[in-house]
Parts: sequence; C-alpha cells; structure tokens
Amino acid sequence: MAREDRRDFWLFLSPWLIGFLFFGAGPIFASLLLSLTDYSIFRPPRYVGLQNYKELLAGDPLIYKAFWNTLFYTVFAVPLGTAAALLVAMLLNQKVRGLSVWRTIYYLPCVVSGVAMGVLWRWIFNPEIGLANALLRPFLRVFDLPDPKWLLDPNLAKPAYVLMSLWGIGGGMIIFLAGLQGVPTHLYEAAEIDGAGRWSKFWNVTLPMLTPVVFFSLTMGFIGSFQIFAQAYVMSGRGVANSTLFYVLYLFDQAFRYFRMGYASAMAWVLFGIVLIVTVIQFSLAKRWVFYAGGES
Amino acid sequence: MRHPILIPFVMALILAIALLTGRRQPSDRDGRPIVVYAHPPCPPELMDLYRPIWNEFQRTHPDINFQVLHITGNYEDKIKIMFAGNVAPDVIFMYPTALPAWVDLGALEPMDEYLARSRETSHKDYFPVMLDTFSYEGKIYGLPKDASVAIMEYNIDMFERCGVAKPRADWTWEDMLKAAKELTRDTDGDGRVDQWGMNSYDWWTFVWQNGGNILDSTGTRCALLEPAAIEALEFWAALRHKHGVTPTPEATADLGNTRLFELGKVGMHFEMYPVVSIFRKTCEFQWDLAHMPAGPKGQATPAVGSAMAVTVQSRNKEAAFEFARWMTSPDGMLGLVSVESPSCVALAQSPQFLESPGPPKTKSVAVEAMEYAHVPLQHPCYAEIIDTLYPELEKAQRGTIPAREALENAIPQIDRILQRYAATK
Repeated sequence: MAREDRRDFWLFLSPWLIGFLFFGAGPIFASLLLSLTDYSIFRPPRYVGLQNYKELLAGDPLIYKAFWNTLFYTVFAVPLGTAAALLVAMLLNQKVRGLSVWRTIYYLPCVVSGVAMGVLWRWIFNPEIGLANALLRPFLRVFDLPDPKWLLDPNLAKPAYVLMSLWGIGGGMIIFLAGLQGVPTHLYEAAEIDGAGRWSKFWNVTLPMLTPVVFFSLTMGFIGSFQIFAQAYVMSGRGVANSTLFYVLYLFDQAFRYFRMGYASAMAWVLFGIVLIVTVIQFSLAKRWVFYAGGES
Repeated sequence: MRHPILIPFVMALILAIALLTGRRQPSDRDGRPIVVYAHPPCPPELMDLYRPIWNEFQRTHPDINFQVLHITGNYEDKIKIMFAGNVAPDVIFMYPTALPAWVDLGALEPMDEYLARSRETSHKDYFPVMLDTFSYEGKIYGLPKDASVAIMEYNIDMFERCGVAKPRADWTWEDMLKAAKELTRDTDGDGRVDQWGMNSYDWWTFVWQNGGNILDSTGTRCALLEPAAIEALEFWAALRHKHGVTPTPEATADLGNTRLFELGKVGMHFEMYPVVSIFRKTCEFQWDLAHMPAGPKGQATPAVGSAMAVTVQSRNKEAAFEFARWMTSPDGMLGLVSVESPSCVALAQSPQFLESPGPPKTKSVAVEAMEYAHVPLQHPCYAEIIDTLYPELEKAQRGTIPAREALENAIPQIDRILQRYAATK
C-alpha cells in the first residue's frame, strides 16, 4: 500500500481499535491476571496463585449447583428453542394473509431487554394473580389439580425459565426464514417427481439444506444460554433452595455482593473455558452432519 | 504537514490524561474547606425534609463550603467506585451491615478522638447500643443518625374486630402466637386463609430472644448449633409450616409483607420506625406501635438505623466530622422527627419527637426499645453468611426439614467462609 493509504487505514481503524484495546481486550486480559489474586476493589490485589481456581473446583459446593442449573436450562432451552424457531419459520414461509404482521409479532419479543422480560414473566408466573395460572386454572379444576407454584417451586422453576426462553425464538425464526428461502426449488421439484410427500420433502430436502442454520442456531444458543443472568436477577434471584442460581448470577454475587473480584474473575475464565470446549466439540461434530450446498464440508 | 495524525492524537491524549487524573480540590477559592456529603437515593417527600436541614447547616457554618452529592442507583457500589478513583466524598451514609466491609477495606476514619475533643457533643449524647452498632473492633466509625430498631406495628381495627386483646409490653412468644392464631382466618368464605395474624420477623431476632447468637464470642465460629438457637429457629419456622399464622410464600411473592399489612391482611407487622411515614399514607385503618414480644430469654430486636461516617480520603476531616456531628445532634435531627426516631437521647426523649403529629400514638415504644436493642451481626462477610444460611432456613420454614438439619447443612459452609476470611488477616 502507498504510505498515505497505510496512514489512512490506521486513522480509520484507530477509534475502534483504541476502544477495543481499552474497553475490551485490556479488561479481559486484566481479569485473567486478577483471577490469580485476592481483590476486593480498593485494597490492592494480593497475588494468591491458583488458589481461586482450587477453591472453585474443590471447595465451593454452590459452584456445582450453579453449573448444574445452567446446564439443565441450556440442554432444554436450546434444542427446544431451535426446533420451535424452525417450526414457526416454516409456518411463516407460506403465503398467508398478513404475513409481515405475523412475522413481526413473532419477532418482537426478542428485542425486549432481559430485565423487562424478567419483570413481565415474573408477573406471568405469579401463582396467585399471574397470567399463566389464570389460563391454566379452568383445566386444572377439571382434574382437581392445584395451581403450579412456578418460580416458587424448586422443581418447576427451571422449566419455567425454559418456557420463558421460547418466547424469544423470533431471532432464530428470522435466520431460518432466510435459510428456507435459500433452498433451491428444483430440489423440491425433483423430490415430487420421485413421489415424496410433505414429511419426506421436509426430512430429505429442507432439513439437510438447513443444517448450516441449525448448526449456527445451536452453537450461538449454547453460548448465550450458558450466560443467562438478567432474567434470573429480576425474576427469582437464586430461587427456592438455590434452584435458579445460574452460573453468571453466582458470579455476580461473588463480585458485587461479596467483593471477591479475584474469585469472580476465576469463575468467568472457567466459564470461558467450558464454553470454548463445548463450541470446539460442536464444530468437530459438525463435519458429520452439516451439509454446505456450495460443496465445502 | 509532516505528521497530520500526530497533533490530534497528542491533543486527545492530553485531554484523556486531564480527565482521568482530575482531583477534587480540598478548598474553594475563599479558602473554605469543602465538605462533600453523598446522599443516597431518597423519595421526594424525604428530600423536602432534608433540604432545609442542609441549608440550616450551611447557614450556621459559613466557614465551611458544604455540598451535597446525590447518588442514584446502588449507593454502595457508586461510593466504592469513587473510592477506587480517589474521589470519595467526605461524609457518607452508612447502614450497620455495611460497616465491617467498609472498615475492612480501610475506607473509614475512626471518630473516637474527634468525639472526645468535641465541645458540643460527647458519646453520652447517643444511645449506647447505637454507638456500639456503628463501632467495629473497638473504634467508632459512624455517628448514629436515626435509631431505627424493629418494633411491632399492629392493626387496631383488626384486633377489635376479631375480639383479640391488644399487644402489651409484657407479651411473650406464646401470647403473640395465641393472638396471631385468633387473627388468622378466611374472611371471604372461599376456603382459603386470606388474613394472617402476623408477618414474621428476622430469624436472628428469634435467636437473640432465646439467648442465642449467630457467631461465637470470638467471631470465628458459627454458634447456631447451640440448643438456644435451634429452639428459636424451630419456633420461627413453625409459625409458618405448623401454625400457619404468617402469610404463604405465594401471598408474599408479589406484594411483599409490608404491602400485605397496608392492605389490612396482616394483623402484626415488624419493621423499623421510618415505615410510619408510609403507613400514614397507605393504611386505611387505625394502627399503633407495640413492643417486641419477649422470648424465653427476654426481649431483643436488631439495632438498625443509619449513621454518618467520615472517609479516610476526606481532605477536610475536621469539617467533615463537624457535619456528621451536627447532622446527628438535635440541631440536625429536629427536622426529621416526623419520620425518624433519633439516636441522640435528648431529642428522642423530648416532646418534639414523642408528641410530634400523626400516628402512631405510642411513639415512646421506639425509644424504650433502645433498652433491649441488640447489636446486629458484624462481619465483613455478612452477605455471604446470610446467603448461605437462607436457603437452608427456608427449607425449615416450609417444614421440609427440621431446623437442626438446616443448620447442620449450612454451618460447615459458614465456618469455611469464616476461616477463609480469618486466613487473610
């Protein structure tokens, strides 16, 4: 590049680069160093080596509870969410009246912030005056069943969060819609000629062509679900018997309630490690089932 | 130009340095010391009471440049950030549970010497339990402002309607339970209880009322597995799971205990004195104050309230102390007697407080409760300890496990936290 071009390149890049270094990469690297210290904000950090990690892996029973809660939520919310998004996308890929209205309705919930979502669903799940039980009550009365206590019931609290997560499938739906419209019509025509019915077309044409989108949705879904925080902070806190103590919620408490920044940083890096391993596994498994139409694999 | 990018870059760098290292000046242009007091988030009605008080301080202290910094959001987080940036205010507002953490972080200036040297105020002017509440490891770190201890508020109309004798100063746990049982009923005939005799109060209050303690005298081990504490917690848990005299978790979930009392669904409520300013507006029934019942080992209630503390980063500690002293003395607190029960003895026992307008009629309860107020748990890891105990105690409250088992589950964790903290000393 000419000297002026190079200068202009750095000039245009510098605002983002400075921002990233100071507010992104810098703090992330600092937190790695802090995870090796005992640090409570304004006594200077005290180096303790790997003690935080040792305590995390061996000395803190709540860590395993937090991890289990997060895993439970992720394992149910992500596949269900992906399947639901695909289903809704297929429904909305047809020429029905008011199609853009329907698509908007399904998409709108996922732009709502986590906090607002938490406040709304807290009301919905309220056992006495909430919408969920108001709708369920007529059916429950027929079978003489009690009202579910939702967030106040340790067995129902996490399923409640999974249900709530399905409200936000709009984002995945949009991506699936784009994917569906990318499936070449000649494949469907060929399938029809071979006598394929609706299910067969779905299973043998649509789904294989959509595997890249499914892969994307599952991977991003896992990464996001592992970090669930805002809704839990607003809706149920740690929940009854710590049933909704999610990993990042516990991290938040360690950092901002107990002022153990070093330990919280260690928790953050362990989470990063776990998410990284899961993502690498997903990528290596992808070679077996994701089909890229362009011929790459 | 030879280096066109260099000049703007250098300017930006200088600007950044100037902004990031700006320090507050200790004195203003006239040489008066600047005292910055950080006030926590506060409803407008309370602000209307504080503003004239602050103006009065400035008027009577023309030699000090007094400034109020209004903090929005989480007060303690914001103050900590200011400390980290070396721009902490001179005087801060403090609750007892925050005290050990602040002291442990080295943020507060001990006040013993300032108090001893002061000609206007001495430590005798405050209720002893309030000074103890804001002391840690033998030194006073906060001058107590309001002496808000938990006391009982009860619904007079409900007691009369149900034919139950009103609470008396010599009530015991059994008396309270008996009255609560008679008040708990289904008022609209739909088969579900919708009126409860009482809201529960803090479980540690029950422990103290039975002579127990949370930590042992050295503060390094949890003392809750003693019989006194176990019995107290069993009584506390039984109020819900056995006698059903406190609201169900579902009823509390959305409205909260205080609101349930305001709506007339709970007969006895236990909260600090400042709640009266809310009840005056929201309660459509007659109510009054009563003393805490006595457990087997007597009455007890946690001393809460708030204090004014001087920070170590203050550059005008004498002037800052003067504000803290004035604010907590009758001069400052007079403007707040309608909503708060003062920590300065003279004002608390004066007609200005005891006969101030508005319910409750028996304001003296708030002052007499100083006799049996108990210094709350003081430990820098307070939040972690309570968070560890709470889920187990909640199981006991539901009747899922006995109180003893809940404690046996939680105590090893608590001892671990205490030892971990002790190892850092």
